[in-house]
Amino acid sequence: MIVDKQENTLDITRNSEELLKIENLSVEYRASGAVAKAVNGMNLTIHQGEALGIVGESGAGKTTTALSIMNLLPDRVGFVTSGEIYFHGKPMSSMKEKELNEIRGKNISMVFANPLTALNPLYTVGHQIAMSIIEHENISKNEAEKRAEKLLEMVGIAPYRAKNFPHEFSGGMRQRVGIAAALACSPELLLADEPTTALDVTIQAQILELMKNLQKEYSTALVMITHNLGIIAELCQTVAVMYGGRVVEYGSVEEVFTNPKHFYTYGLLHAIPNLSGPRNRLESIPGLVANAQNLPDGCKFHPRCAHCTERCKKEEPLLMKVSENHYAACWEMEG
Amino acid sequence: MKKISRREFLRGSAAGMAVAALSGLTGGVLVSAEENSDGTESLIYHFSGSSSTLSKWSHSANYFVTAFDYMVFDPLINMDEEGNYVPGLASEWELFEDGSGITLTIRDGAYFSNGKQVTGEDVKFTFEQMRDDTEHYPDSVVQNWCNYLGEIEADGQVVTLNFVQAFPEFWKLISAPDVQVIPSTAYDEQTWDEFWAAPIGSGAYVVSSWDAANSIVKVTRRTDENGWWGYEGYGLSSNVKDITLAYSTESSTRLASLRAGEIDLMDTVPTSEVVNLDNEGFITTVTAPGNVVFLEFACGEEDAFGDQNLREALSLCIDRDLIVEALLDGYGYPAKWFALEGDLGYLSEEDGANYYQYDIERAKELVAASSYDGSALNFIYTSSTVNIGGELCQAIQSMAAEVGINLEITVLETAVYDEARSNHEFDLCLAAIAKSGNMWYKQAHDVIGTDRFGSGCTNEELINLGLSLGETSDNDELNEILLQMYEIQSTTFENYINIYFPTTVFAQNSAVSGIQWHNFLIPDLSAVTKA
Amino acid sequence: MAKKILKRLFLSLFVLLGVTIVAFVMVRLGGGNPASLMAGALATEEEIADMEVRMGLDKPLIVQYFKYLSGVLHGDLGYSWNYQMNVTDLLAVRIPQTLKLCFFGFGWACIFSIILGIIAGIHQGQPIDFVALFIAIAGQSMSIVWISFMLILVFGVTLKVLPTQGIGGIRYMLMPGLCIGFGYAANQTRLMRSGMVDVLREDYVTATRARGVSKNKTYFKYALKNAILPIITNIGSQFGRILVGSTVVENIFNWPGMGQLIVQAINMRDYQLVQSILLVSACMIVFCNLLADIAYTIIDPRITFN
Repeated sequence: MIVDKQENTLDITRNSEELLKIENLSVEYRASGAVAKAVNGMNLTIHQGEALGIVGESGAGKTTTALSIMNLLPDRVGFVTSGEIYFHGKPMSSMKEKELNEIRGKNISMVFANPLTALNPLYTVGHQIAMSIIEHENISKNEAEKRAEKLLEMVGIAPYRAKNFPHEFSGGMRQRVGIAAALACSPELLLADEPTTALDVTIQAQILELMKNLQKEYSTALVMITHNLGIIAELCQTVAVMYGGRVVEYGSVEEVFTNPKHFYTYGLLHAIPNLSGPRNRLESIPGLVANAQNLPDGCKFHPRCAHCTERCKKEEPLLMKVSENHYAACWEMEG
Repeated sequence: MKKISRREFLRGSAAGMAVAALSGLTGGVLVSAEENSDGTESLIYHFSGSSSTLSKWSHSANYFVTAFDYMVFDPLINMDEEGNYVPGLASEWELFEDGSGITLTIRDGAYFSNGKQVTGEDVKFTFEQMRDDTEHYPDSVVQNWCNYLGEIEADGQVVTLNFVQAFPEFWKLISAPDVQVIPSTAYDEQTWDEFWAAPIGSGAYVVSSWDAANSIVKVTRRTDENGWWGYEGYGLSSNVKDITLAYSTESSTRLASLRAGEIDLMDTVPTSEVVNLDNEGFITTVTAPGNVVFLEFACGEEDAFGDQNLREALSLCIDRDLIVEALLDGYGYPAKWFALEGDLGYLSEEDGANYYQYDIERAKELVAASSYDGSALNFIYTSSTVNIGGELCQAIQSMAAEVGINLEITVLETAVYDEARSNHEFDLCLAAIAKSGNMWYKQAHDVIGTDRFGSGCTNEELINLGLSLGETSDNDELNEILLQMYEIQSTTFENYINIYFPTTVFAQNSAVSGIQWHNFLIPDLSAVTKA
Repeated sequence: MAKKILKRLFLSLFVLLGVTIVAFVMVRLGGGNPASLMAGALATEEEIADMEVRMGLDKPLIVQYFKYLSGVLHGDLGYSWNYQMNVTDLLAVRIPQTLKLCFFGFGWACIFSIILGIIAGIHQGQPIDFVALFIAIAGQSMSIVWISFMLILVFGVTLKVLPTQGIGGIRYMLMPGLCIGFGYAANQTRLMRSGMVDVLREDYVTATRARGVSKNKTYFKYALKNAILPIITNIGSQFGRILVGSTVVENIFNWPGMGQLIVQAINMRDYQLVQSILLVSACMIVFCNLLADIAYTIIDPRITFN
C-alpha cells in the first residue's frame, strides 16, 4: 500500500474553522425490547475543506454517525442518548425542524451506500437532482431543471438523460446521480456513506476520481465512510478508526497508516494482502466484531486483542495523544 | 293479537272496523256523496313481493296486483268480511238451474275512468279476452277460463256466460276483482302492452305511473266528471288522493320503514313483532287463511310411506298446536280437519269427523307394526313455500325422530324442488296450496285427483272422487264429494296430511282507517281515510 | 400506448366471450325448468311444453346460445320472461342505480382507507395506528347484514334522521353506501398502512429527507406515490367484490339495482337475464382492471403496459 504523500494539510485544517463537532455522542437503537448501542461516546471534529475518512468494520457505527449528523435516525427506533453535535458551533439538538431542513441538502448533504435503493424509482433523475435546489432556492422549475442537467454533465452523464428514470441507469451511473444530487446546492459538508461499496472496482476508481475533483473544486468538507483503507489513502487527509461505536484511533492518514498504535488498526492494515513480495498466509483479526447489543466491558476490542491486560478488561481507554497529529485509545500502546 | 276466529275478531275489532254492523259491508265512514272531498292525503303501501305487470292473469297471480285491482277495478260480485256474496258491478245475477251458465245484470251508473259507461258489452269483451287470448294469458289458471267459457252474450246491461263444462271454481274466480273488467274499446287505439301500462277500469283510482322494472305503481284519485260509483253505491268516502304501491323484500326493512313513518301500510309482519307493533300504537289485522301448509307423501307401492301405518304414525307424532303456538306465535289454525268452519267439506268432531290426533305412544306402536326399516327418508322443502320452512321442517324431523321415523331434510331451490316433486324424487315434502273461494279445491282435485305432484297414490276410489270434483259446479254436490274424500283420508292418510292453516298479519299506521276486508284476505284501499 | 390498449381491449373480448359461455352453461346446470316456473305450479304437461316453445327452450342448446350471442352483438341482451321486458331496457334502468351506489361506497371507502392507512403507517405503533388496525379488523369481521340492520335501526327508526330504504337523493345513499364500502375500506386500510410502512423504510425516503424536503412533503408526496402502487392493483381487483356485495345491501335497503335483480333472476331461472347480468358485470370488472393497469403504468415508469 502506498501512502500518498499529500501536503500535510492537517496543519491547515487545524487552523481553519471547525465545521462540525461531535462531542461524546451516544446513539442507541431500540426495537422490540432489544437495545443496540451503536455509538458510544464518540468524539470527532471536522474542519472546513477537510477530507476525513471514517473506517471500521460493518456494525462499527459509521452509518449511524452519519445519520445522526443529518438528524435522520429512524423514527422511534434510533435515539441519541447523550452528547451533542455542533454545526458551526451551534448545537443541533436545539434546532427546530425547519432549521434542520434548511441545513439538510444545502449545508450538509449525504451520498448513500446503495445506489440501487437510494433513488426514488418513480421520479426522473433530473427531478431528484433538482429536489434540493427547489427546496432551498427560490428559482423557477425550469431553471432548476437546467441546473440539474449541468450537474449531470459534471458527474459525467449526458444532460439529456435528465428525463430518464433510475432503473434506466447502471449502478455506477446511479451513484453519480446521487453525488450530483448531493452537490446540487454546493454544501459545506458532504457525508459519503460507502459510496463505492456496491460498485465494481473500475467504476469505483471513476467515482473516487470524480469525488476528488469535486471536492477540490467546491472546497467541500468530505467525510468518507468506508471499510476500504485504500480509498482513504487516496482521498483523505485525516482518518478516524471506529470500533464498537467510538473512535479508537485518529490522526493524519500518513501517521496512522504508517504507525498504527491501536491493535485494531494494526490488524486492519496487516489484513491487506501484499501485491509484491513472498506469498504469505493472510493475516486476520481473530474473533467477531463487537455485538452492539452485547458490548464487552472495558475496552471494546479486548476480547480480540492479543495484548489484552486486566486493565483493558475493566477500564475503557480514552483517546490519548500519541503525537501532534495522532491519537489512540489503548492502554498498551506500543511505545 | 293471538289466533282468533273471524267471529271473535269482529267482536273486538280495532278502529275503523266498528261500523261494519252499520253498512253490513265495509268498515268505511257513512257519508253522503256531496261531503266526499277530493282528497289531499297520500298513502304508501309496501308489499313483500313484487309484480312485473298490472295484468292479473298474464303472470302468476300476486298479492300485489290483487290489492291494486281493488283500487282501479271493480269486482263483478263482491264479498263482505264474512265471505258472503254481495253486489259489485253486477247488481243481480242468476245461475242456471243446471249450473251450465250464469246471467249477470250490470248496474247503471258505473263508469270507466275514460268516461265510458260500463255495459254488458265490456264484460263480454273482458271474458272473451281471457278465453281467447293465448298470447298474453299463458297462466294455467286463466287457461281454466278458456277451458270452461263457451258462448258469451251481451244485451244492454245483461251479460250471459255459458260454460262448456262444470266449473267448480267459478265462485272463487268471479268474486272480488279477480276479473279485471276493462272497456271493450281497450285495444282499439292501444296495444295490449300500452293498455296495461296504465289500465283503465271502473274503480276509484287511475294509474298515474307504473314502473315495471322496479315494481312501483302510483295511483291517483280519478277526476273525470262521473267519478267512482262506489262512494254512493257502498256509502263510502275517502280523503286519500295518491296511493303508492311498492315492495321491499326484507321484512325487517319494511318494519323499520313503518316505524320510521316512511310507509303507512305493510303486509306479512313477522309474527314475533306483532305484539310490539300493537304496543307502539299500530293497528294490526290478522287475515283469514288463504292457504294450507301440508306434508305430501310419496305413497306408491315401492315407497316407505306406501305403508299406511307409517303415514298414520307421522300424523300422530306431529303436535300441531305446539307448532302454531311456538313457530307462528299463534298466528294460524292448527289443522284438525281438512277444511275450516264455513268451508265446503267441513265436519265437526261432534258430527263424527275423525280429527287429527296427537298421540306419541300410538305412533310408536304403529311404527313398530309397519314395514319401515328405519332408513333415512328424504324430506324436501323449499324456502319459498313458507317463511319458517327451515324451523318447521326441523320441528317435524325431531318429532318424527321421537317415534322412530328418521327424516333427512334437504332444502332445494324452487326450480329444483318443482322438478323433484314431479319426478317423484322424495319421500316426504313440505308444500302449501291455496284455497278456492270456500273450498280446498286444488288440494283435492290436483294433489289427489290428477296427482299432479307425483305422490304415486294408489287409492283408486280416492283418486276418482278427486277427479269427479271437476265435473260439477253445484255446491251441494261438491260438499258431498269432499266429505267422502275427507272421510277416506282421515283413516288412510293419503296422500297428504295437513299441518296448519297460516294467517298473515297486516299492519297499518293508526292514522289510516277505512280499509275494507273482503273475506279477510286482501285489503281494499278504494275508500280509506288518513288522519 | 393507445395501440397496446386497443390490443388489450381486443383480448378482453375473448374473456367476455368465455363469460357468456360459462354463464350460459352454469345457469342451466342448476336444474329446474324455467318454462314450468313461468307456467305456474299447476300447469299441465302440454302447457309446459307450449311454454317451452314460446320461450325458445325446445331448440338445441347450441342454437339457443348462438341466438343469444347474436342478439348481444346487436345490442339486444335478451328477454326477461319474469319481468316481461327486454333485458336491455330492464338493465338500463337498474344498472345506473347499482353503479351510483357502488361508486359512492367505493369512493368514500377508497379515500378514507388511503388517508387512514397513510397516517397509521407514518405513526406506526402509536395510538392512531391501533385505531386503524382496529377498524380494519372490525370491518372485516362484521357482517354486512348486521351492520345494515343496525344502521337502519339507529338512524332510520330511532333517530329518524335518515330514510330507512329506497332511493331518492344523497340521504338515501348514505347508509347503503356505508355498508357497501365497509369491508373494502377495512381491507385497503391495512394494505395502505403496510405499504406505507414498507416504503418509509426505504433508503430513498431518507435520501429525500436528506435533501431538505420537509416530513410532510416527503410522506404525502413522495412516499405516497410509491406506496399507492399496490393500492391501485387492489382497487382493480376489489371492485368486483364491491359489485357482489351490493347484492346484499340492495336487497336490504330496497335499492333498485342489479343486485336485487340477479337474486330473483336466478331463483326464477330467468336464463337470459342471468346471462346478461353476468356479462355486464364481467364487462365492468374487465374495464375496471384495465383502468387500474393503465393507472399503474402511468405512475410507475418501470412497468410497461402489456
